[in-house]
Amino acid sequence: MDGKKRIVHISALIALASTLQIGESLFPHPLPWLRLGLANMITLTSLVIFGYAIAVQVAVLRTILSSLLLGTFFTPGFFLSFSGALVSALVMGGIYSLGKTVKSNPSSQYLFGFSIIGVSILGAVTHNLTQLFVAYVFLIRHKGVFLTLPFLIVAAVVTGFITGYGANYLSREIRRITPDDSKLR
Amino acid sequence: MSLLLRDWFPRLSMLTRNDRILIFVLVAIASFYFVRLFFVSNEGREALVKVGSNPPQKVSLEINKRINVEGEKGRVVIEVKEGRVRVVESSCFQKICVNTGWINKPGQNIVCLPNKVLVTIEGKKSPTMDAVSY
Repeated sequence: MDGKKRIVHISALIALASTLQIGESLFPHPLPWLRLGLANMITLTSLVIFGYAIAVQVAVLRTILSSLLLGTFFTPGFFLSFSGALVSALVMGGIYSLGKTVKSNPSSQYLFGFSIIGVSILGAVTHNLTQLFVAYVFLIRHKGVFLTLPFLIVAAVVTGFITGYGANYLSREIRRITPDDSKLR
Repeated sequence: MSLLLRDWFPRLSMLTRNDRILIFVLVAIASFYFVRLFFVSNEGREALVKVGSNPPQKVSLEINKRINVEGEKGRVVIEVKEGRVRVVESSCFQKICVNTGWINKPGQNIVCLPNKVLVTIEGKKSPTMDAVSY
């Protein structure tokens, strides 16, 4: 992919992801740790359409951009969001790349035996676990933090399913418009 | 009328076998922790009051109250306050039960032998150490 195209794609994806994240934060959350993670939808879509590197960049840069716009840059919440996004993007990308080498068909919907929904659930779980770990190490050094673990896992399964379904729909639509991925890259 | 799950929830048919395994494993882990959480939070929150050979009576430590118990020699007054329990007044001779004071940890107990009254706190006894050095 040439440089200009790459920058345009990354910017568009980051803009989409940041918009989703900021829009989501405007809704009231009765439980502060429970978010839908709509921005993860864009990370997944960019993973499927554009590949590992762009997905990780989108995940990392969108947390920085949206925290700048929300005024939470360099607050504890930002570090939680940043670390969660980074690790979950790395894990999801890892599963995706492994799946690509195992599966002969690179445009397959199924990534290492997981569908996009499975990858999304895995990403949501790693996101939550990373946040919990970072919160434990840097913020609250108390074992009581891990009492939230079962709630976080169940929440990740539900939200991961929803965002995975959304990402599946989105990437399918993009594929329908431009069936040849190489034109996008 | 179909009994197949995928006819009722067509979205589920998008999941692959590995997806289902993943979801099942995660839900299993979560429910394991839920069960443990429930068990741990229940620990030490109930006192058992036993008088003579009568069946023991369970008393919640969450509600502040006074209980009058008729022992072998007379009245024993047990007080529950802020998650702790003690014997306030007893008709016995040595007042060992009254002098035991408050108890609040699982495994602790108050005994009044003349009255045959036993107050224990339920739950698995947590291993407590005096000091730890690395």
